[in-house]
This record gives sequence, C-alpha cells and structure tokens, in this order.
Amino acid sequence: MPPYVAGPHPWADKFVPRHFSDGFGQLPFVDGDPLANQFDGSFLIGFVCKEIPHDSRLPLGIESRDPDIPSCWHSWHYAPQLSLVKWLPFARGRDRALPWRRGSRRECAGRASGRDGWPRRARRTDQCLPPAPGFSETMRPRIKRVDARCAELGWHLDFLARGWLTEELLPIFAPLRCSFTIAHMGMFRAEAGPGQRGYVPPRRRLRLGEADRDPIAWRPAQISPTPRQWPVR
Amino acid sequence: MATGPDLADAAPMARALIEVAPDRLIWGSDYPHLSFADQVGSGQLFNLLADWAPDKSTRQRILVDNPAALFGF
Repeated sequence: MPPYVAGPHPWADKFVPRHFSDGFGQLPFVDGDPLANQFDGSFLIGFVCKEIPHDSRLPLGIESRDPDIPSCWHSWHYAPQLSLVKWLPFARGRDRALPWRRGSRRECAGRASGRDGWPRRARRTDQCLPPAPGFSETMRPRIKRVDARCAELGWHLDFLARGWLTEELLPIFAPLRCSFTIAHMGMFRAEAGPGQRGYVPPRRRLRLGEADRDPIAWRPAQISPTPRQWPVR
Repeated sequence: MATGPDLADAAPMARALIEVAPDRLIWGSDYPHLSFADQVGSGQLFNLLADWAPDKSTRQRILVDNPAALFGF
C-alpha cells in the first residue's frame, strides 16, 4: 500500500482484485517504468452538484438512488490522505454515502452556498438522446439560464452529450459566461474516426490555442484541487 | 466512445489529438466509474497511452508537465 493510504480499502470486496489499484494512484500492472512525478492515479477534482434536467431552474439539490459502485464514501474518507484539500465528491445519485454525508458536519457538495474557494461544478447530461438534428436549439434558453446561474455562483458547468449533439452545441457553448467543459471529449464515436463532424473544430481550437473559449479547455483557477503534496515515486 | 476490440478504434482519435495538442492533454481513467471493470482496467487503459504516444517526451507532457501546469502542482 502507498504510504498515504492508511489501511485496507473498506470497499476491497467490491473490487475485482486486479483493479484494486484504481483508487490509490498506483498502477502496478502497467508496462514500463513510471516517470518521476507521473500523474498516474485517479484524481478526484471538484465534482458534480447535480444533474440538471431540461426544465429545471437549477434547484441545486442532491438526489440519491441505489448505488452500484463505491465512490463517494471512500473518496470522502481518503481525500485528506490523498492530499486533496479542495475536493467535492460525486453526487450522481449512485452513492449511498450521500445520506451519510448529509448527516455529517462536513460541508455538503450540493448546497449552493459553501466555503469560499471550494470548486463547484454542475453537469448537464444529455448522453442518451437519440440523434435529432436541430435539438440543440431547444436547449439554448436552458443552457443560457444555467450558464447565468453558474456564472452568478461561480460554478463550473460541464456538459455530457453524445457526439452528434456536442457538434450541434459548439456554437451555443462559445459565448457562455461561466467556466465550462465538455466531458469525455464530446463522446464522439471512435468508429467514425477523427475526421467526423464536430471532432475537428475542437482540434482546430486546440491548435490555435484559444484556451479561454475552448470547450475542451479547463480553467484551472476555478476547478483545480490544489493538493498539498503529491506523492513522488 | 470506443467499441472495437482492445479499444483499437480509439487510437486514431487519440493520436489526432496528441498530434495537434500534446501540451493540452492529460490522461484520465474516468475513475471512479467502475461499471466496466469486468471489461477493461485502468492499467490496460494506461498501457494504451504508450501506443498512442510512443515518444517518451510526449508522455512526459501528458503525464507530468501538463497536469502540473493545469493543477498547479
């Protein structure tokens, strides 16, 4: 075990043994020698407050459903030992720890008000929509509303959509006021290759270095976890 | 989203990004989403990077320099 993990993982029985390293910044099954200071572990940065439905006015609450994976509890538990000082756990509903966390004295991720300097992030998820050309226009007013609210709160906004929708949304993303990202590089289908529509514009933006308005560029000032110390191999 | 055997169809996508923006990429496993842990592990995913970015200096950027700049290590 690495020195920054105190003991056996409380969810060890939930992991396939060969994946046990997933949560601790160690990857014993990788090829080759690690580089010094290699960033090779999971790194939980300021995370989700809530999925925002289309008709929502951003209630900023937390939902909880039955879990199927461990994440929140052990992340919460081990965050200090992983030297994460600015960190918010998931609130995607999968975490049985949410009720536990509500009852704790520690700050709750889904509240609109929190300690100053904590990163905030809202994710808008539209990953299951079947292709429907023009659908992005129906989202424009809602995105503008969420953008305005996130800008007001200083939250980071993250979009998760299938590639066809990501491609449609790029012009809508461009003028957003808040810091934002596109999750999973826009979820473009790999089988369509790098030349497919929508995948090229971000590449061009990257090439041009348009960092401030690039949908896939992060703004570290608002979302970085600022670790106290990072283990050096 | 890769669906091919050994995620081979993701390679051209990744290489295209690495080619144009090696200084703007970091590596991530999508942890803690372990829903597909029975199909692919983080170690296997990580090993793909050596195929996508065979040049050590490029991996140095993706794994060390870029995260350091992004997160302010």
